[in-house]
Amino acid sequence: MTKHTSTCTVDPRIETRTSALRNIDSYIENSRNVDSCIASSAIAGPCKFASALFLMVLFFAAAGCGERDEADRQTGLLDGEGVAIEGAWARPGSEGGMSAGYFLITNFDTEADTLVGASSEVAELTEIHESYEREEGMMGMRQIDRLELPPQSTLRFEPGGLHLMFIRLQENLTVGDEIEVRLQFSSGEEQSVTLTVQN
Amino acid sequence: MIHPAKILITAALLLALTSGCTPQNEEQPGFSGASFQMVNQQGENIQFPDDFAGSPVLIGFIYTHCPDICSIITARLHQVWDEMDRSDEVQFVIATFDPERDTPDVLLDYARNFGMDNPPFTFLTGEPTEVERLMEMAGVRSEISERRETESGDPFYLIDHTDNIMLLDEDGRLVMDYGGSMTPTHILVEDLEEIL
Repeated sequence: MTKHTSTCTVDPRIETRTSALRNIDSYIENSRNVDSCIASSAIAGPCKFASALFLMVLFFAAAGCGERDEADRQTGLLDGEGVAIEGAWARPGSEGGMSAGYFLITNFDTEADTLVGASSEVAELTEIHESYEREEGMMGMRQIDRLELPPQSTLRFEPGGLHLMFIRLQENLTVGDEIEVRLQFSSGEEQSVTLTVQN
Repeated sequence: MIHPAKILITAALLLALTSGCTPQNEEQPGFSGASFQMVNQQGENIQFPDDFAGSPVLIGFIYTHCPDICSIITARLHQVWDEMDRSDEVQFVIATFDPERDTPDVLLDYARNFGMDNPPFTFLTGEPTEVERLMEMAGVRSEISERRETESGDPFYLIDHTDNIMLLDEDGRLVMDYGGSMTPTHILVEDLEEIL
């Protein structure tokens, strides 16, 4: 439930490294449970109590954002190099079908980087996608060609948002399998990441 | 000075308080009195909702080529089943709005991936006209948003769709219409236990 309550930046996908690490355990857990994208639903009748509670949690979390940002500034630059991936996992899938991959990606550098693509042998196509809500409650999915990673920040690939999309799987993905993905950056560099298949 | 994030989040939640999770009322569609000839993941004929009469039904609407939002909906039903004390008194149904691709075999593979290939989980597909009729009555909307070919030349398309999980009573009447991927498991569990 804490997953979406700690971000005070304009783009909800971007957060500081400190708050990202603070929440990584809950990210992994919530990514499975996905009690995450709660805010826009479920608020009538029996849902009202839980929603009111959730509103209070969010309000107080927002109230603390200023203090956290200040704390982050006082800690100075983040301790790390380049781009790091954590908490990577993927949905199970059947040969010929689809799957999605999720992780936290952090840019430790003081300059922005850009994720421009991904590839994997487990699927005919591996693309960066984003789920979003269109008008009138319609949910859509679109391909992202370039994804900027601001300096000293973390982006969340998570259910209901950014994700890697594996199109036409070349093999079955079952719980416990590990799949290799190569992420490509605008600098020309590539980085391998291992995703564990889980539900 | 009030932090802008406070204003934004409060406004978003006030908006949320007025939308979603719609309780049954005269404007909401239900399935009571209707009947649809469907096929389950084993290829067996299913009359919906007739064959589920006598039990509450939690039903989600998906297509299997949607690995993100629809996987959340599917997993959510499994989580509800897992967390309920009296889950043996509930039927859990997943219906596809993409019958051209979601054949019984495809649904069976998909169900296996989520550990949901056996009762009380039922995955439904059918003739496209019958599926369309079911979706129309449910108020589930979908439309192809992107159509292209993969590198191997196979046709491929994505579908934009509404995000629904619905709770039906033992007579197929709509009790609640939820934002499917966005509704916490515990709310579904609480609502189900309330009508058992």
